Order: sequence, then structure tokens, then C-alpha cells
Amino acid sequence: MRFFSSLFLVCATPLLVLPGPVLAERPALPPCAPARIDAQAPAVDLHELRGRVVLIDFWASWCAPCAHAFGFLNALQDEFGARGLTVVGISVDKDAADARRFLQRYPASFPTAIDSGGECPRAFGVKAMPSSYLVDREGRVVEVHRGFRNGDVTERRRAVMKLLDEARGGGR
Amino acid sequence: MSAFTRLAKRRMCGVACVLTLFACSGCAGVPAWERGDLARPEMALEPQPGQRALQEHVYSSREAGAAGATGQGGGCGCY
Amino acid sequence: MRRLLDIGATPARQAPSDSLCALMLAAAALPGMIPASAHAVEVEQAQLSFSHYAEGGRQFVRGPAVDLKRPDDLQVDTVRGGLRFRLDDRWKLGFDFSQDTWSGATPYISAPEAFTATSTGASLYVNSASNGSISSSLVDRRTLKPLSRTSGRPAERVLNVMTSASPETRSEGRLSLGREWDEAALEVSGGLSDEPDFRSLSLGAQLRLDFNDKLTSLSIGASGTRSDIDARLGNLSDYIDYGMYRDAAHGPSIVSVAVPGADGSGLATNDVESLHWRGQRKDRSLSLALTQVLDRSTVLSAGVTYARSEGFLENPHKLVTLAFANPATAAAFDFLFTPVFSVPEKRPDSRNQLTWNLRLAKYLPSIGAAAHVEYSHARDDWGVRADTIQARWIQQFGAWRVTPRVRYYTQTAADFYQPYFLFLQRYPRDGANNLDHSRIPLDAWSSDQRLSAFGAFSYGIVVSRRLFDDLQLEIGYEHYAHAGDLKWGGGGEDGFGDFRSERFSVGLSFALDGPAPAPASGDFHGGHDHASGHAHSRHAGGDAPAGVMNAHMTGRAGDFMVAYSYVHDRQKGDMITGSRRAGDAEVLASCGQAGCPVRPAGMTMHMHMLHLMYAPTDDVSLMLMPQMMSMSMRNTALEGGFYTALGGHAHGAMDLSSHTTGRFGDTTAAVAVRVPAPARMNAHVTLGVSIPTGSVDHRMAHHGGDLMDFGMQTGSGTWDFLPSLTLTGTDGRWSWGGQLNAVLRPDRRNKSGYVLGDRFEATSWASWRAHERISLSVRGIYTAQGRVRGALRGDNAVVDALGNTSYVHALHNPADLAANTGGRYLDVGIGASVLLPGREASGDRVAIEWIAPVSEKVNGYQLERTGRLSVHWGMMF
Repeated sequence: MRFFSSLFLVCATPLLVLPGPVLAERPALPPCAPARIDAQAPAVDLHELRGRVVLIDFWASWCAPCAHAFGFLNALQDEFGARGLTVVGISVDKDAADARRFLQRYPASFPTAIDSGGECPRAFGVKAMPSSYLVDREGRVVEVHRGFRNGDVTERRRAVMKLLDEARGGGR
Repeated sequence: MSAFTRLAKRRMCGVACVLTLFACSGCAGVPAWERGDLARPEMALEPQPGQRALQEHVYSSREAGAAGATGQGGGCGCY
Repeated sequence: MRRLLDIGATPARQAPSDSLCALMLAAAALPGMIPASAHAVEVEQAQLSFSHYAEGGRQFVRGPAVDLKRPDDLQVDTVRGGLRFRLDDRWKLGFDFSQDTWSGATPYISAPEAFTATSTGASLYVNSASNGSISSSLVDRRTLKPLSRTSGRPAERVLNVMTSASPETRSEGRLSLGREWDEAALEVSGGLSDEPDFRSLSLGAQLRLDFNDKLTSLSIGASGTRSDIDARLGNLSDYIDYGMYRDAAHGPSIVSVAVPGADGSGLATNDVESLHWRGQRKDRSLSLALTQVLDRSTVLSAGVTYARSEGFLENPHKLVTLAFANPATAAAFDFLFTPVFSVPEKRPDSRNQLTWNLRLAKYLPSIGAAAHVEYSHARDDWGVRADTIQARWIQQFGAWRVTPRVRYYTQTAADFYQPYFLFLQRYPRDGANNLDHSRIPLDAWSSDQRLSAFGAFSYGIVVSRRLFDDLQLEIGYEHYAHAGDLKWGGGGEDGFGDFRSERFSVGLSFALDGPAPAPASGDFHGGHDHASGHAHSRHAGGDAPAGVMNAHMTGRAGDFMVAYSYVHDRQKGDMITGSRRAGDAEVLASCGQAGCPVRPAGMTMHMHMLHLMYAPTDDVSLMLMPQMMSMSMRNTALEGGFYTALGGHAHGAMDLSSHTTGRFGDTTAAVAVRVPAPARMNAHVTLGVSIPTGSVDHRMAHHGGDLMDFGMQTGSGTWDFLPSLTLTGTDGRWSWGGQLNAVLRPDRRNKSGYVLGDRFEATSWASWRAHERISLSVRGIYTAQGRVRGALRGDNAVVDALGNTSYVHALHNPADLAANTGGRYLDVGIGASVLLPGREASGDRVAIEWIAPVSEKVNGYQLERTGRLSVHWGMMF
């Protein structure tokens, strides 16, 4: 019976196309401590960023859309950094050397760390690469975005601006 | 219905069952962040499509078993 | 349903429970974009490859003839190109083309040695009956073994009779459009394939559904192909009985078509009887495949394909030997009289085939290699069972990738296959003593070795190297051996059909995806790509019209440029002399005493060229340019024309309606050096050498065929010198340039007895940037082309009154004469070029140009020119 129910789920899955990724409730940031990507890189502590709007981007050197996304993330950081946005990249590469090579080719204007063990993506429940999590000033996840498509960037930029405009300590 | 199509149907059914079985085995899962190896170009189901096309072109003009594989393109009567 | 993310809720490192599994399935329907998981990596790329395939090792039996020449082995030259790119996030477009040219001999009938004979022009044929003249071979009364008519001893060894055809070129194009959703993709495609005998149109669709976090993909495909076959069998033969398909009311039919050529007495006519076998064929297929990620490094795929073909399934170029041993032969003889017939093959009207396949790919991180293993099994209702197993090992060593590969294939024979058919009965005859095809005691017959029982073993290696971040060079080799003995379990066909082949390929592919390494500070605004207005070109002459050769010069030491050019040239219409039209009478007079039966009515040429350019210093570029070409010429009868048979070769009627050639052309190696130029201008001198890699010995297909004319050969056959001087300049939206170039041919006569004329060309152009990406150009071209020196070498021995032997070329066409080559031409070209998105920094462009003739003054008598299309795509690294 379980066989048939899971078979049904397999078949029915494409029908369950979900609407937008904005979360109804804002769950708290899960515990996660990514490591420095190299000795010179500053340590990234997600929980110390409370008070800033944070965009956490999970990426990997083997993921082509992740590279496309970097252009957008760099632009966001440059445009809104002064207004309180911090973009944080977390590489999920097994080998930090791969991640460093990637950063040489696609430089990031935002801090990026690495979690080779996969604790962070597991804690965040990452389902696709790239995945990014928009976090409000209270350290709560507001929006999850999977993949990168040029068609989505206007909407994503607007979501960041909206969150920056929220009064400190606001939310619902 | 010819014996051939009956045979085909029986086989198709068997294949469908096998396929369904291993479709479900997929629940075991590989998380998205651990798919680095799978994302490598050499792990594409056909890692050398250009070479493959050249090969298939030769095989389909020299062997009788390839008719199904060449759904497109000319029949090349040149052997 | 759980839309919220399992943030902090999924227990770490714990196998998901069943309920969690179900939830994960539901959660899989989220917008995501994993580049590769259960389905193949979709890479946006442009690729171009050349390959050469050559067969050999076929058994060659001289038979009773001493002067039988070993036929040329089959060779195939292929050029393939493809372009795949995204239109936007969801839509993508693909275009593929391939062109291959086949030349050499292939088997077309097999028979025991006892049933064969040779003619004085040294060709082996099956000694068969037609049109009421019965030719009886012998078989042993008891053993039914074929007996030699001369020695009376068994001569049952099967021989392959080979036939040489003139090269044939097949072109194929395919366009595909894809749409992606988060968890699905659909691709529809349409293709056209065209070769002289075969024209087909195909449509296909493939749907992929992703499940289970993209760990599982199901793909469903359907395709349909419709083909029109019009096989040119050539002139009537005394040895082949085409009766059963002659003017058939249903299905494939052999009809007689009136074509230009020479009749049996050599007189030119547009009514030479040429046989064409015509029919239609439909192929349809349905496929289903499931791909599953098994673990972090393993993917398994299983699929089934059903294919159905109906209609004209025969191979029109294959014949079958039917022999009828007459049991009523007088008992005094210990043999039976056995009339032999050569007839076209006959296959069932439909074929249903099922193919299962299984593929496994496993990555081995510790050694940086991927192993791919595939197995497939196919069976059809013709009795063919085929199994294939293939293994590949893909090893990465830094920028190198080495892929060794082995493959084994085995198949059983079709139910209706035999190397020849021997019946113990009187041959069924009609009222006129001809073979009565309706009473042949079989429904289908074929001796096509593709349908025989055999095995094939092949191995190969592909070495690829990443030259730059996005550019990959790939070199491949494959050895293939087909043998009856290789059949799994034994019982394969005898060795007469065995052969081996080798294939070499060289390809370049350029990955279009992956953003260009962008500057760290973004110039990204609300989803707009940085459409740049600064179209600074790193290479001089970057926006020259497509048809200008060697206009480009790399800019900096270490630069590497790859470019692809395509040229299509057409001539069609009347014959001209000087600048006026010429009538048939004067064209014929130009052929002299030997006469010409036909004149050209149309000629087309396609050329694909690859340019590789490297700059060792800022001011010097080295270039290598291989090319592949194909030509076809259509003829029409010259009024009052005639063909003079030489050297004792009687040809009978000749179908001279058209002929085609194709192969690799000559390869140019060149060095370009920057020279001083005034401000805002660039000048460079190019010194090139044309290496004679093309061929100059393409021949007419008919028996004892003479060399084709100069323009139908793919090479010059000589080492040629190619100097040029190019000057380019830019001023605001305008740029302009001029070039003087020459082709000088100081070499001795080539092996076919001639040297092409020298050529001098002067051209200048102006181009205007109409838009930040688009430029339009206009140019003028003056060309002076010298006459061919020497003449096409003759192969026909002619003995004069004094007993001296000379070798003479038998004229077909005024184009065969050196006097009818060269001239002076004035042309004008209009063109456009587009700067490629994302490649602004290197100024990479795609350019197209149409060149139309304005005036001309030709030597002798030549076909009118229509125009020339050039396309050029250059990429700098």
C-alpha cells in the first residue's frame, strides 16, 4: 500500500506547482557555522549579523547558475550595502580549492564562507543549487529563492528593498 | 494482434514495473549540495554528444540493430 | 502540505522516514534549478567538427580476370556544426547541421564464384540472364554446390561484387526549440535531410518530467520521418532484371526517366533512358526512458524504444542473385543447368523494432574518472536480434580529458537474408521466357550484409583538452571491425563480407553558458544585461565583410582566434563567352573534333572552413585553415553534340544529367605580419601557402570514367602561394578597408596534368555601425582569374596511324577544356554583421554577405554566375 501511495505521490508531484516562495511565518535562522574559505578571509558568523538584512546564498563551483547569480548578488551588495544589506555566500564545495578557483574567476564583492560538511545546507533544508535565504533584521527567514533566472531579479530586488524599508524590529 | 505486438506488450509491462520500482528507490535521496560529482560534465548521460552522433551515424549505416535509435534524419542508402 | 522549509526540522544524518519521504516528494515541486542531476547537462555551446572515415580490409578476389583493379575503398568526409543557446531563462534554441560526402566502392551483389564472370573492361559481374537471354551456370546434381563452368570443379566461395559510384553528398539540418519549467522540459525539433537519392523530413518531440527533487527523470519522446526516395540506378543493364518493379502500380516503382546524356551511338540528347527507383517511406518511433540518481556518484537510466518503418525499405543499390537449378536437366550430366538472375532486393513492407537500453554512469572521485557502461538489446519482426555493449572511461588530467572506449555488437540475420538464393526448381517463367517475378517462391529476399549474422568490435579513444576557459579541442579515433566470426555464439556469415574501418575526428567546441568573468563591481541593473555601447574590437578588421579572407589580425601576443566560414556559390543559366550569351552551336564548336554531349546548366558549391589563428607576438599571427567542400553540377544536352568514345571502351547510352563531388579541400597555412600604417589605420601583410590536401582525381561515375572538370575537383593539386595586403581603418561609426590578394601557382603540373590559373583580386569596402551591435557593409570586388595551364590527363589509349599510343581525355562537357576557364569579373557585395552578446570585449561577430555579379569577361565558354553567400563567425580568446 505504501508502495502505491508513494507511486501516486511520484506521479502527482508535477501537479503540485507551488506559488511564490514568500514564507507565511518567519522561522528563526537555524544554527550554522560555516568556515573561512581561506586564511585571509574574514570569519562569517550569521548570528552576529542581527540588525542587518542578510541574503544567504548557497553556491558551489560546479553549479553554472550559481555563477550567473554572482553578478546579481554583487550588484545587490554594491547598491544596498550602505542601507543595511549583507550578502553572505556559503560554498558547499567538498574541496575549498575548487571554491577558491571559482571565486578567482567570478569574484564576489560580498563575504563568502564554506561548509564542506554540509551542516549548513542541511540545517537550512537546501533543496536546489543555488538557494538563497533572505533574512530580516531580527534574524528570521523571510523568503527562500531557488535557482537563478534573469526573469526573477526585478522581483527579488524589490523584496530586498521592501525588507530594508521595514522599520527596525518590524515584521508581522 | 500479432504475436509480435503481444510479445511487445508483455515486455513493456515488465519494463514499466522495473522502472517504477527504481523510480521509488529514489526516495533515499542525494541532497542538492552533494551533487557536485553528478554535475560534472563527464557524468552527463551522454558526455560526448558530438562523438556519439558521428559514431551512431556510422553504426546505423552498417548495422541492422540501430533503426530505433535513428528517429531522425536520412536513411542514407549509400552502403 | 508543508510549504514551509524544514528549517532545523530535518534531523541531520538520518535516513528519511516514509512520511518524510512523502513530504520530500511534495517539496520537490519547488522552483529550483539544479544544473545536472538525473538528466544530461544542457550546455549552451557552439561546436564544429571534421571527421574522416575510411574502410578497408575487404576481401578482394580478382576472379578469372587478370586486369581487375582493386576498387577504391569507401571513404566518408563529414563536417558537423551545432549551435545551442538560450533565448531567455526558459526558452532555448538549437541548430545543427551536418554534411557528409561518400565516395569509393561498396558491395552491391554477392554470388558464388561459379556464377560470376568478367568483362574486358575489367569488371566482375554476376553472369545473369535478362530479357529472355538465359545464361546458365552449373550446380552439382547431388550436393548442389556451384560448379565452375571452365573447370567443372566446385567454386562455391562467395564473392562480393563491388561498385564505385561518384561521390554523393548528404546534407542535414535540424532546428530545435526547447521550453523549460522548474520540473519539466519540452523540446520540439524538425529536421531535413537531403542527398541525391533520398530526401526526408522529420519531426520530433521530447518531454522530460523531473520528480523526487530531480533525482528521477522520466522522458517520453516521439518522432516521425517521411522520406522520398528517388534512387538513380542509371542506364539499362543487360545483366540486371528490374522487371518486378518496372512501372509498379503500388509501392516502390522503377521508372524510366529521360535525362541529358549521350545515346548508344554517342549523340547528345535530353532523352537518354535512365532508371530511377522511386518510393516513399515512413518511420515512426516512440521512446520512454527513466533516469535515476542512485547515489552521490551514480546515475542509472533505462529506456525502451519502439520503432516502426513502412514503405520503401529496400536498399535501392543492392541486388540479389537468384539461381534456379533445373532438376529436369538430362540425367546424363552430373550437374544441373542453373539459370541465374540478378534482381533488386525485396523486403517486407514494414518493420517493427523494439530496443531496450540500460546505461550506468559512475564517478570515481578518488581517481577523478567517470565510468559509463551501456547495454542495449534490439529485436524486430524481420528476425534481427541485436545486442550492444559499450564501456567508456573518462579520465580527467587537469586540462586534459582522455576517454578510451570499447564496444561490441552482435546481430542475427534477417529471416530473408542469404548471400545468394538457390532454388531446386525450374525457373518460373512468363510467356516471353522471362523470369516471372510473381512466382518466385519467396516473399522477401536480400543479400545486404547489414542484414547478415555478424559481430563488430570497435575501440577508440577521444582526447580533449581545454585550450581556454570556454574552448575545448577534441580529437577522436576509432577502429571498427565487422566480421561474421565475431557473432556471439558463432554461426556468422562467411568472411566475404568482413571489413574494418577507421575514423578520425577533430572538433572544437565553445561553451556559451557561464557568464563572462565579470568585473567585481557590478554593472547590473534590474535584470538588464550590460548591453555595451563600447564595441572596441581587439582585432583589426573585425567588422570586415564576411567574404573577405584573411581580413582579421589578432591584437596581442598570446591571442588565439577560432573562426568558421561557410561559402555557398551558385552558377546557373546560359553559357557566356566574353560578356555575351553564347548559343549551343558555338559552344559545341569550342569542343573541337571530339565534341561534347552536354554543357553545364547549373553548378553549386558549399565550403566549410575552419580558421585557427594564434599570435606569438603583438605583430605576427599564424594561421591554419582546413576546409571541406562539396560540389554538384547539372548538365543539359548540347544541341547537335556528341560523345566520342575512346580507347575501345564502348559505353552504350550514358546518363550525364548530373554529378557531384566532395571531400576535404586544400589547407592554407599562413603568417600575417603587421606593417606600419597611417594614424587610425591598421595594415597587415599575409603570406600563405596552400597545401594540396584536396583531391584532383574525382572521376565520372560511369564505367572507365574520365576525370571530372577542374571546378569539380576539391583541390588544386599543387603547392600555391597566397600573398595579400590588407588595410583597415575606423572613424566614428564608419570603418573601411581594402585588400589586394593573389593566388600564385608556381608549382609543376599536378598529377591530373594541369595547374589552375593564377588569380588576382582587389577589393574595398565600407561599413557603417547602424546600431551598437549591428554593422552594414558594401563592397566592390575585381577579380582576374587566369586560364588553366595544361589539360585534364587522359586515360584512354588511342593509337594513331604511325602506331604511337597517346592517352586522351574523353570530353563530356566544355568545362573539361582549359580554354574555357578564367576571366575577369566585377562583383558587388552587401553584408551585415552582429556583435555577439557577452563577447563585446573581444569584438566577436557573426557576419553574412551576399555577392552579386555585376559584369564579367570570361575566357572561352562558361556558365553564368548567379551569386555567392558567405557567413563568417569569429571568436577571440
